[in-house]
This record gives sequence, C-alpha cells and structure tokens, in this order.
Amino acid sequence: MNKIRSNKLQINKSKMNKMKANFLLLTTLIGIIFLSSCSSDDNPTTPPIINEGASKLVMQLYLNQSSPSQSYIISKDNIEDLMTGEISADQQGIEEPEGYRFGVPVGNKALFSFGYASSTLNAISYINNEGIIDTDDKPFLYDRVFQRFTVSEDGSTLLAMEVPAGAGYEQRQISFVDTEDVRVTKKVKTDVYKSEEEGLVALPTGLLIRGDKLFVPYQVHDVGGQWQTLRPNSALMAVYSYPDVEENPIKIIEDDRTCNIGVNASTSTLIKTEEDDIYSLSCGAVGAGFNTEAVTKPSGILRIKNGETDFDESYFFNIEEKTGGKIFGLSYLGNNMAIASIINNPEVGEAWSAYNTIYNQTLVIIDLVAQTVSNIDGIPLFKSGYFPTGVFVEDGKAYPTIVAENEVAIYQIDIATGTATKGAIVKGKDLSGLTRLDLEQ
Amino acid sequence: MKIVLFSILNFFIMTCFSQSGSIKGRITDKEGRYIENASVLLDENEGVITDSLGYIYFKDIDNGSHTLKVHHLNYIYQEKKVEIFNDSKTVNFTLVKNMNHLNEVVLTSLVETKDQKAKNSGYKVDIIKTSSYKNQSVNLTDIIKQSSGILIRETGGLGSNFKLSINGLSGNKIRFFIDGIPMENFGSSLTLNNFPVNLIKKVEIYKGVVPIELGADALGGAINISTVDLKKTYLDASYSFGSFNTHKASINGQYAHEKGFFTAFSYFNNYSDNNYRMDDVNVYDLDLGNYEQTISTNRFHDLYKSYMFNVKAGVTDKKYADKLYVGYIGAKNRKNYQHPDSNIETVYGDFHSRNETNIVSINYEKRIGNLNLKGFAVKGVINNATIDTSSVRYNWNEDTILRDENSLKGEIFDRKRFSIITDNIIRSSLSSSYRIDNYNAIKLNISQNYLKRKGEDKVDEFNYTFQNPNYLHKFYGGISYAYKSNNNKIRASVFAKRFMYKANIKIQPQKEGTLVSNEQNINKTGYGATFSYKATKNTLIKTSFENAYRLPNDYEILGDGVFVEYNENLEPEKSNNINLGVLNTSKLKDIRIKSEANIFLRFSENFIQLGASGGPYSQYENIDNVRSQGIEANIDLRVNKYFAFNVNATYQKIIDRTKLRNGLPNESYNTEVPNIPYFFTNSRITITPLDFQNKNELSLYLDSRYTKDFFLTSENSGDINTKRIIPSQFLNDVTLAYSMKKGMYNLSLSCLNIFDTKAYDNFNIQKPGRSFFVKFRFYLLNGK
Repeated sequence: MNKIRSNKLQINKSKMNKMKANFLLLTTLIGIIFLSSCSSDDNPTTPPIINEGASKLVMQLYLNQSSPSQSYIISKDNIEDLMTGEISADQQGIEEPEGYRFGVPVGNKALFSFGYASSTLNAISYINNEGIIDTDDKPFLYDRVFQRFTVSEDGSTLLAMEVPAGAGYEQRQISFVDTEDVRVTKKVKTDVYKSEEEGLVALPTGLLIRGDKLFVPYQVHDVGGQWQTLRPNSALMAVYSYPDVEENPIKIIEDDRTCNIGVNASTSTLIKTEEDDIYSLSCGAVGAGFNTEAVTKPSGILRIKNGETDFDESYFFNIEEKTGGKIFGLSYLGNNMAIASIINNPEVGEAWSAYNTIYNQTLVIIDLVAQTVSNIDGIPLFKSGYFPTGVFVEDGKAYPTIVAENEVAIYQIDIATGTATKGAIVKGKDLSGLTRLDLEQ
Repeated sequence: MKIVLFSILNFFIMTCFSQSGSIKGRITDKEGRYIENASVLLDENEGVITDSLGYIYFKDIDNGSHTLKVHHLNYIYQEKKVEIFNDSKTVNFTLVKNMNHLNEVVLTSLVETKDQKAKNSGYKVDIIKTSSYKNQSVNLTDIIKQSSGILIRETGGLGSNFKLSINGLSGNKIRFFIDGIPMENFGSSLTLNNFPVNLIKKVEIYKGVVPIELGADALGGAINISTVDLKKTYLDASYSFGSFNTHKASINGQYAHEKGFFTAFSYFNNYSDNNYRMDDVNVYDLDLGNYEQTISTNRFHDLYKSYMFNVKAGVTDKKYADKLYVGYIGAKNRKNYQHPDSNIETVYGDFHSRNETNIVSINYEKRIGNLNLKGFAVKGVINNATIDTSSVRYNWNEDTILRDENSLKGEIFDRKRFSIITDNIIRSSLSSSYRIDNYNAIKLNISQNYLKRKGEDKVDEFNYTFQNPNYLHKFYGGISYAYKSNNNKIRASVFAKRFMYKANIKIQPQKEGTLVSNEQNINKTGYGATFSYKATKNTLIKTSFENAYRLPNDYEILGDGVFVEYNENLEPEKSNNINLGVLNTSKLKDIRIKSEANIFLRFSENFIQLGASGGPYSQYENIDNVRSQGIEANIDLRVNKYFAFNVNATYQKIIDRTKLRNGLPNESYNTEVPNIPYFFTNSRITITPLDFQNKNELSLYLDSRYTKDFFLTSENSGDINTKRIIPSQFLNDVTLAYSMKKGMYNLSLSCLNIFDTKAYDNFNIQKPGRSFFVKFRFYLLNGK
C-alpha cells in the first residue's frame, strides 16, 4: 500500500494554507497594532495513537443529512467498539469525496470506495506506516459509475464493472484495478448478452472469480433504460475465462427453476464456500426492482459445484417455500452457513420499496447444504437488507447493519446459536464496507 | 371575489373623467442648462424631482389657483403662482446659483422621490443606481453582489452559472423582474449576468418581504431591474474588451418626440473565451483513467457568447394612457462547459448549450385622479438546447481519445443527447393603486403565468422527456393597504397574496413506459405587514414581516422524465420572514454619513429537494426546514466632493432545523448549513481628484470584497484536518475612468483581482485571476 501516491488532499490543504497566509498577512498587519502576540494557533491536531497491533476496523458511514450527501471513513480499534455507544462522524472520520459510495474491502489491506455519480473520485483507505487510517482520493478517474465489484482470489486485482442503464447496446466495461499500486491495468468490454431484434440488453448483477473463471449473473432489461426486468423467470449467468477475460463469454447458463439472479447495488449476489462451491441468490420481488413482467418462479438459491460451470441440477434451495418470503441479501459466514435477509410479504410495495420505504425484512441463518433456515430473533423489521458489501464476520460472529424504522444499528449475530445482540447505534443512514485492516509489513 | 369587485370599481373610476388641467415646464440655469434634481412642489402636497432634462409635469390638477415652489441645493429658491381652468399651462423657471448652501439637510425631505418613498417605507429594500458604474467594465451581477446580505456564487467567468442568495435564501426562492415583469423561464441569455449596466437605470432588491406589485411567489426576496426613462432622447454606446478575449458591446438609445411618441432600442453582445488560468488541475490518462500529473493550464472550452435585441415603441402622456407601448426582446446565447459545476476532475471539450428567447409585450400605464393603473401582457417562446453529441474525451492536457464507434455515450450523458425544450409562456398582470387621500392608499395586483413545455431529442430515441406537452398555470392576486400619518412619521402597510397553481402533467416516465396524466392544484394565501417610524429627523426605524410561499416549479413537479420522477404531492415552500432595521443620516463637519443596520430572520419550511433514492429513481420532496438569522450593516461616507467611501458587512447563521430525514434522526440538526459563506464584506472607495470646470472628470474606484472561509460539508462531521474548506478571500478591483465633455466621451481602465488572488465561490472551482479591461462609452443626451 505504501506505493500509493501521497495524499492529494494535502495539496489542497497547502493551497488553502497559502490563501490563509495571504489573509493572515493582511489581518496581522492590522492586528499587530492591537495585539502583542498573534501566533497562528491552527486547530490542534491530536497526534495519532499508534495501535500496537496496527490493526483497525474501518467502515464507511453514509450520513443521513441531505446537503451534501456525504460519507466518512470511520475507524475503531476494537470489536467492542462496534457493540457500545455510537458509530458517528461527529468530529471524527476522514471526509470522503461527495455522494453515495460503494465500499469494497480488499482483503485486510484496504477499503476501496467508489462514488455513485459520474466523475466522482475513488477513495482508498489503508493503514499508513504510523498505524493510522489514511485515504488517497485521486489515483484514477472513471468515466462512468462502477456498480459491480469483486476481488480476485489472491487479492491483487479488483474488478469493477460499469452497468450503464439506458446506454443502448453499448458494451459493459470491466476495469481491472491493481490493488497494490491502485492503477487500472486494463479494460474489457462485453455485451454479456443482448438481442437487438427484441430490444434487450443485460444488466449484470454481480461478479465472482473462481479459479480460471469469472461468473457474471444478469437480468435482461429493455434497451431504452426503463429498468424493466423483461425475462425474469429463469436464472441467467455468463461464464468467462479469467484472468484473460474476453469479449464473449465461454458460455451462458440458464436455469428455469427460479428467477433472475441478483438485485441491484449488491456485491453479494454470489457467494463462494471453502470448497469453492458457488451459491447464487434469486429474489424476484417487486420491491427489489422487478417490474412489468410478472415473476412466476420462486425465490431461491442455486449452486454451481466446484470445478463445474453449470448449475447443479440436483440442488435448488427453495427459499420462498421455506420462509414464505423472498431472499434479498446473502452473505457467507463459513462452514456452508450463510446469513440472508428475507423480504416478508413481498407482494406489498411498489418497485424499489425494499430499498427505500417498506420495513418488512428479517434476518435468517441458512445452512446451504442441509437447506435449513433458522430465524434470528431480537431484530426489528428493517429495509435495505441487500448487503451492499456483504456482512463482516469475525470469531464466529457476524455484524450486519440493520436499518430499522427509527434507528440504524449494528447487531452482533452469534452464528452458532443464532442469537442477536444489539450493538452500537449508527448515526447515519447506512454503514458499508465494514472490515478489518492490518498494516502491511 | 373581492379582487373582481375592486377591478370593476377601478373601471368605473377610470371612465368618469373629472374637470382638470395640467402644468408643464422646465427648470434651467441662466446659461440655459437643464437643472437636474430640483425639487418642485405643487401646493405642498405633490412634488416631483427634475430629471436630467429639467422637465416638470403635473396633471389632473383641479381648476383654481396653485403655487409651484422650486428648491435646489445649489440654487436660490423660487416660487410661482398659476391659474388653471381646464387647460394646460407652461411654467418655466430660471434659477440663480446660490453661493452659500446651508439649507441642505432640511431640503432633502421636501419632495419624496419614488426611491425615497420606498426607502422610507417599512420594506427592507436596497436601491442601487447604476450611474456610477456605467463607465466601468462590470456586469450587473458584480454590482448586485456589492449589496449587503447578497451572495452571488459563480462557477467561472462570463456567462457561467451562478447562484444568488439574499439573506441566506437562494436559487428559485428569489424572483427576478425586469420593469416589473417576472423573468422566470426567460432563458439563460436573459439572466442577470448577461445584462450590461448601461442598459439598466437602477436595481431594487427587496429582502424577505416583497410588495404585491411584484407579482410572484418570492420566498426569500425579489430583484427588480429598471431600464431607462421613456421620456428622454439619448444614445448610450459602449464597448469594452480585455483579458480572456472578452468583448462586450452595448448600444442603447431612444427617441422621444415632444408630441408624446417614442421609440427605444437596446442591444448587447457579449463574448468571452474565458480561457483563464487554472492552477493545479489533475491530468488523467484517457484510456484507463489513471492519474498522470498535476499541471497549470488555461481553460480551453469555456466560450460564452450572448446577444440581445430589444425594441420598444409607443406613446407617453396621452389622454388614454400615460404610457402605452409594445416591446420585443430577442436573445440568444451559446455556452460551452469546461467541466461540471461540481468538480474540475472531469473535463469537457464539446458539451455546450444554447438558448434562444423571443418575447413580445404590451405595457400600459394610466393615472386618473387618484387612481393609477398599470398592466402588461407578455408572450414568449423560449428554446433551450442541450448538446452532448461528442464521441471525443478530453483531459486537462487537451489530449483526446475517440470513443468506440458503437458507443452511445456523450461527454455527460450515457446516451448522446441533443435535447430541445420549448417553453411557451403567456404572462399578464394588472395592478392598480388608489390614493384615498394623502394618508391612505390601496393597491391591488392580479397576475397570471402560463407555461407550456414540450421537448424533443434529435439524437436520443429513448429520451421521452416532455414528448407530450405539459401545462402549468399560476395565478396570483395581491391586495395591500398603506397608511401614512399626517406628520409623515409613521408609515404602515398590510398585504395579502393569494397563489393558485394548476399543473397538467402528462409524462411518459421511463419506469412505467406508459403515459401518466395528472392534475394538481395548490391554493395558498400569504400575508405580511410593514411599519416604519421616523424616530428623529434623521433616524428611521423599520420592520417588516411576510409569510411567504414559493410554489414548486415545473421541473420539481414534472421531473425530467428520466430518473427524476414527477411528484404530484409536492407542497409549496413556506417561510416566515422578519426584518428589523435602523437607518440614519447624519453630518459630521462636512462629512455626510448614511448608515443602516438590519437584522433578518427567516423561518423556512418544506424546502424542496431531490429525495433519497433506493434504485435509480428519485423525486423532489419537501424535506428541509431551515432557519436563517443574521445582521447586515452598511455605512456610506461622503467626505467631500472628491472622496466617498462605502462599506458593508453581513454575518449570517443558517441553521438546519430538520429533525428527521427518511424517518431517521438528522445528524446535522441544529448545526449550520454548510457550503454557504457566513461572513462577508464589500467596500467601495470613490476618488474624484480632478474636475475640469464640470466638463472633464477623472475618477478612481476601488472595490474590495472579503469572504471568510467556510466548510463544504457539515461543520461537525469528520475530522477537521480532513475537511474540505473554501478558503478566505480578499479580492480587489480598481478602475480609472476619465470623462470628457460632461460625460459624452468616457474611457476607463480596470484591473480586476489586482493581487491575482486565487478566487473560489465553490469548492475547488477556480475563478479568474488578475485581468484587465478597457471600456469606451459614448453618451449623448438630447434636450429636445
């Protein structure tokens, strides 16, 4: 990480200091007459306390205030800090470039943050040599918003994909970001899928690398960008070779036992187990953005077994049948266990309401192999449970952020017992990218 | 209903003409030169101040004997008696120079001009006369922002987007008028930053409380610009050029025949490359987007050009009308964009917009006895084109790269765009004022504002924005009652305004893909009051209050048809505005001091903002409550004939009063709203060292502006060392102007931003550095 160029924020600051100095010069001239001493006592900067382990929990806090929409990189020393008090940006946290941001942890070495507006900057947080969290905010500029992300198995490459809606038949671009020196090394363009006769394009919903393959599930949308899911009643996935991703996928796989894989804005559409089995989430709820074409297939989970590139015909975990709801978020916990959020009574609400307006979601722990579901009690009904950057897991505990009707809070879930303990109150709209960063030696 | 009755009443009064006569005349000195600013009183109850041609005119005078009294600072007092019997008399005065001018202070209040009347009322109004700026190379915005409490924040040079705020309220919360006609949706070539000062006589800035004559939903205040008098014959031509290949020409003339008809025209042409230097911009490689270097370079795609042509023709002082004229305004502009308004990382090399505006109007004014009637009707077509059709990408190095052949992406939009939005507007207004006696008056105003909006896109087949026309109709009615005590010490008024709003929304949102029709109606009543008290001969205390509304605009209700959805439940923005001020005129030896201080409070609710979005869609919602409070003060010193000094300062606190947002606590509740300057000052020094027998004049103007640094984001959020700050700035401009032949030929040299200070109104968006301008002006005023 130390190859990252020095902070551009600093340059801005020095510019500012110069301006301040100009003004100071003027005022001091006048001020000197009145005052005996006029020392420039700038804001006292508290010297960083170097944490002995040089390991910190970092997260991206997205504030609820409206002008401007703003997020901050918050760091905490211990896991206990997630369980008490407040997570807030009050007088603390590194100010990020403006707007909503995706947070993508890269192993334990950095948190990459990408803005959800064109010509916004990325912001890369890492632990610097002094053991404190530092952020670099201009390593590269992107032309169009990145919305789908994954990190290679060795952690050296981050794939970020543009999924322009309503850009006609324009190809989707995957940028390869070297996570060591934070530079884009190449871009690959692909249609994933399109049909010019029928006016259809692919809206990729996720990315996952396994071995020498890249898996890209997608929805089929109208080319005009009206966000209509027009072929919802099968699971669709493109399979590419990796790392030499080519324009055309090796194959497209399809399964009509369930509906389209993935929901918008989530990076945990596909999960991978220790045995390299891939599990995929199919939602199909109107509230998750499925609209105009009726979804008739149940919500559930499909599997692609280790070494295979087809859906496992012997496996379909029918979540809708088990829970009566539709699965909206999925994150891996280890040992073939996963945590999932379920939209209960999914018939309620209009398009996008599961993100925005309706609090009808609950958390469950699922055993992917045994196909069992156990409810997690003690959590209020919530919205926005699509796990934009997955769920942080450490020492047998998971730490999802719950956006309930009057309160946002971190909960600690004991994976073994399924019990939930309410942790810190989040003073903001949402928390993303919670991860542990270590100082690289 | 009341409104209708009053209108009918007006009509009856208008039709019964009374027996009366009129007096005309002219005030000159012994050499036959016209005397300006002489106060002429008719029977102690009616007065005029002579214009630069020395004319006086009184009409509707009852038959009988009358006295005319003429006062002027520098001349000896005169009076004359006149007999009127259904006729028109001409009374001329020839004044003699007064060698000892002692009665100055007493004289100033003898006759109230319109401006003084406004100043003495309870309204918080600033009146800026442009005369002293006409030889300077400045835009109208440069003058307006020298008023206290006003902020104009620009994103670049000539023609750049700007945001004006009055006492903390900004954007469409402020309404603009030209000669009383609302300029809403007039297009970007007719905004304040286009108008050369030479076309403008004065600017009135109403803060927070707006009189009913300016008929619009002004939540935070209104600015009315007045063009020149209709009774003069003159020619005013100017041309200035300077840095950044900037050229501004304006010509403005009028022929007024003594029989009462006139024609007037004005024209301006602005051009600038705006290629000023940008320090420390980042260059990214165009293929992969990686950072390469930080450089200093000139802007290369920021051209702005605009022109306007305005012609008026009509009659003045006729039996059927005091003023009746038709007008036409044609205006066009082209604006290139170097970068988005929000940041300078992305660079554009082709993206631009165009506007074309055509407006015809008819204006009418008539006074019958104590009743004054005024009306206008306006029809216009405004085309706004957004052109994003380029396949080329640029960076600050001016490197370019061509996008893929099949790529639809423009520089900004995901699909190339050539959208043309056409607005058809019809506006009309009728206002009347009735003076019951010398102390009581009633005013009434009814206005209507109609908009039809239709859009097309020449290149994007999927852009459905306003493919089906949408209609908006606003009605406005206002009534006010004003009282003046008979010792002139107390002035008070109360007023009420009624807003009616009807929108017919037909939109084909991308989400549903089907046509959605909607009708929305809003009815609101606002009200207010003003009060002023002349505490001493030289001190005036005034206060005003308004419960004001701003109706949602077309875009907020209709959305953009793409990702901003329509919202039929939008409520108007509401604000309770309070002003309390003190004005004082005093004299310290030979120094005349005018000072004013004002406290303002704005309790605003339901601010309309783009709401949160989960998916790709969002819509405008009523979200924020804000409280603005502050103090502004102004001191005007006229030391002697050669030296004058004006300084003002504003300190304001704008507090976020929104407790909940999206059902969750707002973490910036009760903190200052960020990204707004909170302390700023302006000053102007005028030195007129040389005056060659009243004929040639040399003047020096020094304008300075200081803005204290402020945060881009909420003050309490984040570690202070990582927060983005808009730095403190102290900017200075100087102009040296030389006038010859009593102002007929003028030449000025200006240096703006003398010390080449880095100037920012917005975070990291640099404004021009030091620049130089030369201006020539020819001004001819004809007596006949």
